[in-house]
Amino acid sequence: MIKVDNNDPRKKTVKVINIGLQPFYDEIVFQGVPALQLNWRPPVKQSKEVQDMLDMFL
Amino acid sequence: MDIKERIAQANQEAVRHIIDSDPVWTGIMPAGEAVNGLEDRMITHCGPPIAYKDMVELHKRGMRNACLFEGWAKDTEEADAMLKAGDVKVVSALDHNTVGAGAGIITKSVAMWIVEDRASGIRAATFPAEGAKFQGGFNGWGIYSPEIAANHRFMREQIFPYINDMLQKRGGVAVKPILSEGFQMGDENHTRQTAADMIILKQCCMDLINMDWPSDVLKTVMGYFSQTPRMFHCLGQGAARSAALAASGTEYSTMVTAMGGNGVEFGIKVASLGDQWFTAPAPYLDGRYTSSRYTKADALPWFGDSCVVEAAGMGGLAAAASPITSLLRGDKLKESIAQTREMEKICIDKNHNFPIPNLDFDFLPVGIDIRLVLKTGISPVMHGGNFHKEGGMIGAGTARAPMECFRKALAAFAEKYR
Repeated sequence: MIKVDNNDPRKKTVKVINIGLQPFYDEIVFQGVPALQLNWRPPVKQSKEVQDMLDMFL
Repeated sequence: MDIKERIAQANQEAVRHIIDSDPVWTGIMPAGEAVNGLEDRMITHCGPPIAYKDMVELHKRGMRNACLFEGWAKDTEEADAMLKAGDVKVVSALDHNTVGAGAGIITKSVAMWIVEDRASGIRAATFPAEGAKFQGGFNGWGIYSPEIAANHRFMREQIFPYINDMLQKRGGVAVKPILSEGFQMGDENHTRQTAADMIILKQCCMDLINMDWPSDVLKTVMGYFSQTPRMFHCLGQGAARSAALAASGTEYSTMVTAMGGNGVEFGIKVASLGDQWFTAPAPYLDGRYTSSRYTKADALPWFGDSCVVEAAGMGGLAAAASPITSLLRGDKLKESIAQTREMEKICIDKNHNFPIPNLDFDFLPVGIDIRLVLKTGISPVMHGGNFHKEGGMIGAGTARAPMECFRKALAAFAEKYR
């Protein structure tokens, strides 16, 4: 009798949340894998001058 | 009230000028009467102010051609000498109540279409589409020939007086309902006006027929109406410009009121900062060319003021409305929807006049806020035609307004209100 290892990642259905570039998500979906694309980008790094103005006015 | 609350209130006031605008195509008249401050021996150009000597060659050629059209010079050499000597003034169209679409060349005798915002009473003048055969012409692309000049005169003398009579009898044509219906039929109202062109023809068809003109006149006018590609673009730009002029001067507002490029520099204006320009090197467009023989080396950086429509929440901000223009730019529809959703992050409000089927009838974003552009790092996307350095359109695509313009604008805002 073959023992099934339920923890073997190869036996599991993969579900993906992609935080990276859109083409990674497109490629995963193309292969039939359920995936979500997270609409996220790293916070913008401002110069101190711009950041000071944004803090004052926004 | 602290400064942040004042800005929020001012921005609501400014954006209401766009959302609540009531643009109406009211008539046609010579630019010398329609454009405030347009004097004899003066030529407007697109984008921020630039001296004749610093213009790209396409622009210089357009300037010389304008001198020929007005009869100020007998040949291009004389025109060049006059422009170099300052005997003919060159001014930015966006420093007046007009729009420098394409090359933005407007002189006193060119016929202009008048769009009046009946909510504010402010009028904007836009130059008309140059018919089916000469689209672009010297106003748009700076290209000139005796035939193009003759066509201008023919439109001015043999077509527009009749259309003007129809407009007076009809009481004008309301622009906003046509924009709204066009958005729902696949226009984004910058690079595509296919639906709007058909709607305005349908609206005016019986009014034209009922004018009881001789049949040859009716055929000529109907021919212009039905065969001029993107005729409605002129009215969309007029609507955008008149609304932006109403918003201009709103103290404390950080909303963008004008954008345009001259092939060298790109510039923006901000509601509370009046006619001050904030400029940076003009960006190139990304997109598709009409032929594989064209490359970026043939193209001009952003050239034209037609992106006033983006400042009023159309074009690049309305990408989701127009699946077919997604294809034109090499995008998929979902990317166009994402583009409109991205633009929401830099806009003050949504325009309830423009519900979009592809957004499940959510509304288009409107009112670009310079603070949000800088905070998010998201620059406004503009749709547009790609100009060949020698003239003519060689493709279409998108460009982003340079971030440097927004940094300079916020610095000037801080200088004024800190």
